[in-house]
Amino acid sequence: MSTNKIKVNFSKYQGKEVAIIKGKIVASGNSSKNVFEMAKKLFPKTASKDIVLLSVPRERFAIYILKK
Amino acid sequence: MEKQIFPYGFELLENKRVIAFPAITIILKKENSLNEFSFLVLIDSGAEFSLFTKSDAELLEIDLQKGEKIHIGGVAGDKFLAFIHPILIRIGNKEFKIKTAFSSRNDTPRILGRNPLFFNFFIIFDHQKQNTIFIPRKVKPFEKLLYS
Repeated sequence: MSTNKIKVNFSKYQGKEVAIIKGKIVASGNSSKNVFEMAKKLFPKTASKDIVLLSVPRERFAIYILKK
Repeated sequence: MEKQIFPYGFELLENKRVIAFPAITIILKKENSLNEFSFLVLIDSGAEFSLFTKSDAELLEIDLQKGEKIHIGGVAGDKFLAFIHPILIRIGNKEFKIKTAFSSRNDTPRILGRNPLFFNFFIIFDHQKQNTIFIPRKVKPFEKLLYS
């Protein structure tokens, strides 16, 4: 599991789901399942838990307040 | 003192601007499953509970619609449907069973909210050093320091 800060090119990945292996974005798309499967196909020997999934915010300054 | 320090998880780069986010990598798995998945999630003290996407539920092999149905409201007044499910979450070396919401959509944010994690930890955002610090509630000297 990576603990280093991931650098994300905002204009390129805005609103996208990305898969990260060893700090690098290796796949992107619109759903975590598809992106995970793409990453697994590219790096079949990588353990599933070493593929980190991130939702890149749609806006630079996101405020989330969720209530039932 | 027992604590876990997580550097802010990611930075958005645009032109010469850099914005860092207090996000941490956590591991989720469905109870009784061997499949574990890692997510880099925003820690959001403004959110009552944690939220993951519809696609995350599919990845974890959770039957989304079998959960308790709830309506969630966002800051802009938008509403969407979500379903509550129990899940195992690992943060650093600690694992918990929590109830979390899975959205009926994929375009909703993935966040770690207050309930129930904020009951288990004191969570400090050190924005200057860009670290998020988790201190287990059972660390009584820290609680004493806070309230003395």
